Amino acid sequence: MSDILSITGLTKQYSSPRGKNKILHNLHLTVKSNEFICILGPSGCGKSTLLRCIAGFEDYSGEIICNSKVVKKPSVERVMVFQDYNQLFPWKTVEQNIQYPMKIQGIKDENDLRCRCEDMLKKVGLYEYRKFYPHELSGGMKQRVAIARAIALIPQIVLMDEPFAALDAITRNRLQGELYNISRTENMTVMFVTHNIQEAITLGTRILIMNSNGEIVVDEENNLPHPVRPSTKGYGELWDRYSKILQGVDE
Amino acid sequence: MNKENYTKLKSRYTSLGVQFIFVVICCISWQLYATSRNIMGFPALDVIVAHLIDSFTSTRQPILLYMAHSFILIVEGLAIGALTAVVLSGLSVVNNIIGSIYRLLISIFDLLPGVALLPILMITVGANDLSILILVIHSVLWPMSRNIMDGFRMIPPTYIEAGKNYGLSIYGLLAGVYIPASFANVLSGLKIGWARAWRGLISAEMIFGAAQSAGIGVYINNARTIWLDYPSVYGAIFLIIIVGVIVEYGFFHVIESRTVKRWGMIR
Amino acid sequence: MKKIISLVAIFVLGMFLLQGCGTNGQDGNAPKKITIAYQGGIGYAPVHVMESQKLIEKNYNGNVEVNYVKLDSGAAINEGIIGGTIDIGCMGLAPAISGVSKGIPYKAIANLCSQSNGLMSNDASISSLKQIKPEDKIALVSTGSIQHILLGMAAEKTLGDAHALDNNIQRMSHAEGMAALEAGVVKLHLTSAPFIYQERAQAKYIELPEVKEAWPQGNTFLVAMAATTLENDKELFEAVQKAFAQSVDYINSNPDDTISIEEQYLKLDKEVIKSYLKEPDCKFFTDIRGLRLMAEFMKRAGFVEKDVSKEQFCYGGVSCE
Ligand SMILES: Nc1ncnc2c1ncn2[C@@H]1O[C@H](COP(=O)(O)OP(=O)(O)OP(=O)(O)O)[C@@H](O)[C@H]1O
Ligand SMILES: [Mg+2]
Repeated sequence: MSDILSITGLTKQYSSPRGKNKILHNLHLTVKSNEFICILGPSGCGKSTLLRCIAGFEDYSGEIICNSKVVKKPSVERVMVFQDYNQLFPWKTVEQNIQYPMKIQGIKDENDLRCRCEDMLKKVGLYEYRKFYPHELSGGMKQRVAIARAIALIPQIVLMDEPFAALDAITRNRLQGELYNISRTENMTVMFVTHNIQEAITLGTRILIMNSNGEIVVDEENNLPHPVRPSTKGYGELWDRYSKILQGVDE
Repeated sequence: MNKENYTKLKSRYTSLGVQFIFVVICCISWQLYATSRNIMGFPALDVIVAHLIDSFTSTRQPILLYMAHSFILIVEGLAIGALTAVVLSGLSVVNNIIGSIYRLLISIFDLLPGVALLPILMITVGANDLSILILVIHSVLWPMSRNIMDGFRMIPPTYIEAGKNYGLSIYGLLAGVYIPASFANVLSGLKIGWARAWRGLISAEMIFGAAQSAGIGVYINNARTIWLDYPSVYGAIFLIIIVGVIVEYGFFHVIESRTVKRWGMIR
Repeated sequence: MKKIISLVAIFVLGMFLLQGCGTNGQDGNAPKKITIAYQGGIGYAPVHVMESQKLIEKNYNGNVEVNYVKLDSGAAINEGIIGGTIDIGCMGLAPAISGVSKGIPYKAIANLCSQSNGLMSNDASISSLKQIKPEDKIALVSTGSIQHILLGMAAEKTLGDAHALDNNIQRMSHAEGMAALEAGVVKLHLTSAPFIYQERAQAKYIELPEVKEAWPQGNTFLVAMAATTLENDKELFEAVQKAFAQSVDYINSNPDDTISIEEQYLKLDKEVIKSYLKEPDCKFFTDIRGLRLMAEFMKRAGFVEKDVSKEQFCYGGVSCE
């Protein structure tokens, strides 16, 4: 598999009236096509910041290269699902929210638009809500629409920032399965931030753990056979190890 | 009908009822006072209404023609002003130089009452419909631009980032994200602009209205200066109020409930 | 229940307010108050003299407080009289005739002056009313003003229709009209002294003779109208009438003092004022001249619905023709 993304010496700092606040230091990371990378780390360690840099929303120093091009601004090849519940356009219905980015991409055929939209909505379980406006949905429902909107574009890289945080266990399990399958069949590369070790082990083909200084302290392949369940051999051991590391890095 | 809807409807109708009773009481007091005092400058309601109805059909003073003249002017001015405000506010997002100059212009001109410009307009453009049109545009353009620019600044960055992420160009972003995301501000700017323009237009017509381009302000002035016909003055004022109420409820409320209210952006 | 109470409260409050508007309580000891309204220009010199020489106060045997206000149109003064806030209003003959015809409760208590009026053009191709095209604007101070009526008289005589030029009228104050004529924003300006003198002095303007000729030289231009309520107070009424007569006298017999007073009010050079006062049209006198001429015209041309007789227009003791 080829490298789709390579990050070298990424350093990101925010400057505020209180001074400069360095979040990421000299970070290196190479991502191969079709990897499903789960990122764990204590709150505030810079996971969202890393995704935002890759998405092209932030200025940074160092180098991020995607498809052999330097990342300078956002692009549809790297679609972001934000951590924010309010990322759908409130002036568009659920359906219009999903179709709009496709239209921007030049998909004109009404039938095609509708089919893809309906298909995605069924996958996230919100088909009945297609005519609703975002303010009429719950936080978790909005998040599911946002995922549908991003996936419907079949981007090369999806950057997901805790997309399932607001979901109940059953819906979450179902969507995890759907997401994993789509990413495999559509050959998508996924970078997925989560606080849930179970989720990371279930979904990730590779797992990163960041410490509170914004450094990657664990970067390893997840070789448990798919579909991963808590009963899978090696799961418990892995869970314990990550849990200990996370407790250790969080000070 | 469920209970919640019922209470909502009920409170709405009570509020309408209270307003209605209030208006009726005002009318009765007016009528009683006017008939008991019989003052020339304070005619009774029936006299005013009779004059108003008369003047709908009168050939000497067809009030509806005067009103139509003013209304067409203001609609033209509003359209031009609103469009210019949207375009210039948009360009200010695209280009920083335009943006900073435009913000300066807004802070200068938004403070300037249109009527204060009249003497200058009169000398440079002449006292004609064009002057009034410029006045209307002035009344709309600046408050609306100010509102739109404020609205742009309040847009949650996530919407803009999402738009950029999906490959919108800067102009696509303006039309597809900036304008709809700040539509509540666009509308409130338009409302302020309409109110200022409507007042400005009538004042201007009353100050220098040419007999040739006869708007409702000229009508009031004629009633006041030539015909000394005070019931007609009141009638014209009522008509102005009626037009204002129609625009408020028939236009702004309808647009609001179909857009920003429906989108959950305002209550 | 609460709602009903608040509605009743509003109703009662409203009635109180309305009641309050009309009653202007005066008790015995307080000074009598009277308000005189006038407008801008040298024609109001008698009012200026009256104020500066305190003529009403001198003629009234008692405590009186005289309040002078300057307004910008006869219409505003009419409204003040109707509303009861003005007791005496000085205005052009035409709006006074309209007011009396419409039943505004006032009559003429004195005459002020005659003044020069004229219609000036800045376009060499317009030297007669006949040459005015529909798009040529005529600036004048207000519809319904004496200037408007003079235009109507001239139009009736020359064009056969008193309203032929109504659609050319552009309302502008005298000063704005002069500036607009200068700037070419309007082609014509119908104005009165002292503006007409300044415009006549400029060679580039042409005077259209019809307006000047429409109103015979020496006919009344401004009158003082007193609310009928004033007549109930005989002493005050007479004091006011005397004061007007004395001020006209004063102007005619003390030109130098008059110039000094006018300097205060008009903020013009003494020499300029002196030249205005010397103009043959600028005369101050106590009898009203030309009432019937103007009233008949206004009736004929439809500016008023009812004719106005001398008795309807003047208080007894005011001579009038
Ligand atoms: N716009 C900003 N300006 C200044 N500082 C910022 C900004 N955004 C984030 N930070 C800081 O950067 C650090 C990392 O933030 P980030 O959002 O990347 O954390 P995170 O790992 O995603 O946390 P969480 O798990 O809580 O979402 C935080 O300390 C935060 O204070
Ligand atoms: Mg985060």
